[in-house]
Formats: sequence, C-alpha cells, structure tokens
Amino acid sequence: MKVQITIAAISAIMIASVVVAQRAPAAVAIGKPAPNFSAPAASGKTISLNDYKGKWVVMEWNNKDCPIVVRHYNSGSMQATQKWATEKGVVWLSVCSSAPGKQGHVDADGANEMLKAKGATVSQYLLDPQGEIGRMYGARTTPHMFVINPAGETVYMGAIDDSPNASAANTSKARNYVREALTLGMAGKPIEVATSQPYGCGVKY
Amino acid sequence: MIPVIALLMIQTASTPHCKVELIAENTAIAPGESARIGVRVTMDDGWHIYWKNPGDSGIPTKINWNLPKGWKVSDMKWPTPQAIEADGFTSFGYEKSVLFMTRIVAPKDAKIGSNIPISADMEFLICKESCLPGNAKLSTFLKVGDAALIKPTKWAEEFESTALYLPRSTANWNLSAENIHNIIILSGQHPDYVQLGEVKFFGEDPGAFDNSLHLPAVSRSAGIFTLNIPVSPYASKPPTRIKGVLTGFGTHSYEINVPITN
Repeated sequence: MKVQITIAAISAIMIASVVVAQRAPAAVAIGKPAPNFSAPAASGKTISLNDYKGKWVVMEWNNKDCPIVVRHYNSGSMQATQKWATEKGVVWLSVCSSAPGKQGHVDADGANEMLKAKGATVSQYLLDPQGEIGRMYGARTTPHMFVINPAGETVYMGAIDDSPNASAANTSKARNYVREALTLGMAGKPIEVATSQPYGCGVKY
Repeated sequence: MIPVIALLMIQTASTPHCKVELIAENTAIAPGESARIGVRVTMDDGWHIYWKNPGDSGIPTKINWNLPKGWKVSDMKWPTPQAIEADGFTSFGYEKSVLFMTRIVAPKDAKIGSNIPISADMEFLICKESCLPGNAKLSTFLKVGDAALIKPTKWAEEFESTALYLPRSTANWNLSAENIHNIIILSGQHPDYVQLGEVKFFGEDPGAFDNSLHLPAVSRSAGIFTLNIPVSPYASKPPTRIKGVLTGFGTHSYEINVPITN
C-alpha cells in the first residue's frame, strides 16, 4: 500500500509540475537573474533592464485608475517611496501593462500628464500595452512590486506593503516591503521578507 | 411588532454595480439569546467582490460590526468562494449575490421593547474588467423582544440556505499533508463514498499556496483521494499548515486545517 501511495504521489507530482509550468511561465524567482526587456518609455527613450546593471532597480506595475493604486498615490505614500528610493540612486521603473481600451491604459502623453499631476518621481514609465513585460514577470496586480539588486537578481517580489485595504485608513501604519528590501539589501543584510502575495486590481492585459 | 428591517437606513454608501443591505434573520432578539444578522451584497452581472484570500488579485472584503456595550458579535462566516479566472490568473470571490453573516448575542439584561442600534462598516473592491472601490456604512435597529413573539423575517430562508452551504468539518477525513519539493501532497478519505468532481482548493493564507485551482486529484477507491497543491512562489517561508476550503466532493464544501510534514 505504501508503495502504491508513493507511485500515485510521484505521478501526481509530475502532473502538478506540468500544470504549474503551463500556468506560471514567469521567469522571475528570488535570487535568479531578472529577465531583460527592452521597451518604450513615456520619456521617448527605449529602456532595457540591462542598462541598469550595477544599480538597484524597483519595478512598479501601475494602472492609474485602479482604486488601490489611487489609494497609494492620493495618500502620497507611493511618491514618498519613489523620492526616498531615487534619492539613494535607485532606478524606479513604473510599468503600465493595461491594454488599449482597458482600465489605466495610457500613451506617453497620458503617462507624463499623470506623473506630473501626482508629483511622481519615477526614473522611467514603461509603456507595455501588449503586456509583454507584464507576462514575462508574471505581474498580476497593480501595484505589483519587484526589487532587483545591482547584480541583476530579483530580491523582492510581491505587495507594496502588508496592508491589503481598499481605503487609505491604515496606510501610514503599513510595513512597506519595498523600502525594507532596499534598506536591508543596500546594507548587505539578508532581506527578511523576500516575497508576499501582491494585492490590488488584476493587471488589465 | 415593528419589523427590524423596516428600520433599515443607509447612512453613507458608495456601492457601484451592487446593492448592499444589512439584514436580520428574525424580527427581534430575546435577552440572553443569539440571532443571525448579515450584510447581503447583490452585484450586477459580471461584477465580483473578494474572499478573505482574494487570490491572484483583489482585496479582501472587510466588514466591521459596531454594537452597544454588552452585545457580542462572533466571527463572520465566509461562504465558499468561487474561482474567477482572467488572463491566466485566478482570484477567489463572489458573483451575483452573497450573504456575509454573523451571530450576535444580546446581554441577559437587555430591555424588552428597546431598539438597539447596530451598524456595519464595509469596504471592498468590486471588479469586472475594471475595478472600483466600494464602501458602505450600514445601520439599523434591532428590537429586543419576548422570545415567544419573535418571527422570521423574509430573509430567514436565505440565512438558512447560506448556513447549509458553509464549509463543513473534515474532522473524520484522516487528512494528512506532506511537502515534497514544494508541492503539498494532501491525502484523505471522504467518509461517504463520493464521486470526485473537479476538486478545487481555496487556500486561506494569502500567498501560501498557488491559487491555480486545476488540481489533479487522484481518486483511488471509496472516496480516498490525493491532491497536489503547489506552494506559491510568493510564499515567504515554507507553510507549516494547509488551511482552506475544498470543493468538488458532492454538493458541499469542506474546511481543512492540516499540519504539513516534511
């Protein structure tokens, strides 16, 4: 009986692996090289991740009309994190993977207008209307955050903080995982929370 | 007798694409007794709100109850969610309508004939293709009445049917869970033989398990099954327990909470 169970379990694991592989093609994993991409930015430049080797990089999935994104921008907490990070030399890449006609989709002008209105200090705002970078990273919510170290490895992926709320009530008390990962990472310390379940609106592919 | 529901008021609400109501099972509550109250959400076609673990996207629906001193409110019962799939991702939530119910207990010295203010603050995210924020402050008065005179409201049946389909116990299922290379092998036996449908696992802890629901179930005989549930790539550490809801065993859903061995 024990043997039968083991065989059943092993065959089931193989099936499960196939299912997982089909579902999560995202190449992003903690400690592994973050996949390179090349994409147009709202600045008019073409941006590649490889351009930033040697620097800390934050990626923030954005949909300006998602209520959870709105909460983080209306409270000023996202801009404060951007300012804090970019002043330390961190490269902040916001990415919009909303397809044309879907919530949060912007062209370059729309993105620049929004960034100005919100007082956002992102390094570049990447336009990904086909969702290529989004799918490459398995981005599933807005916001969905990734932190990449100077060696080009992903060291954090997940939620912006530990406060999956619809309203701003608890934002100030939240534990900001991106700040924490950057602070610990830059100090050469292990990153305590390297992953967390991202929360927010589904990315509008 | 004044029906409780006649006194329903909505103070402030922003509830796009849905209707939110504070409802009670009975017309009154007797001193020292308990009664079910709840928040009922009726959504427009295609719109959904989220379970306590919203899955790949979303925000957990939150309801905070406010009752006068001396009144008690128990934990909210979350009805079994459904899988909402889009773009290869899976969220856990509710479509059409859902009743979030809870049980309140009146103090023994509650005065018969008095009207007790109760309120519920609700926050949620409601999505179809786009997502919108929702919030509501709902309030009503509950009448304290003589037990013999209490009658069911028009909602009583809905409380009954919601309770009937809440996740059930798996205490006698002989469940065990083992972590083999980040896949949790969950084994057990349904005490009555049931033909397995598409078995789905809704993990309760956000980020602990893969939210994909298409799990291979191996049914060997007489209700014995093995399920393979991948640990989420977003798990911050290997899970030590597997908690959540199973569906696909006949008409009911089941709650599991099993320690994981390595």
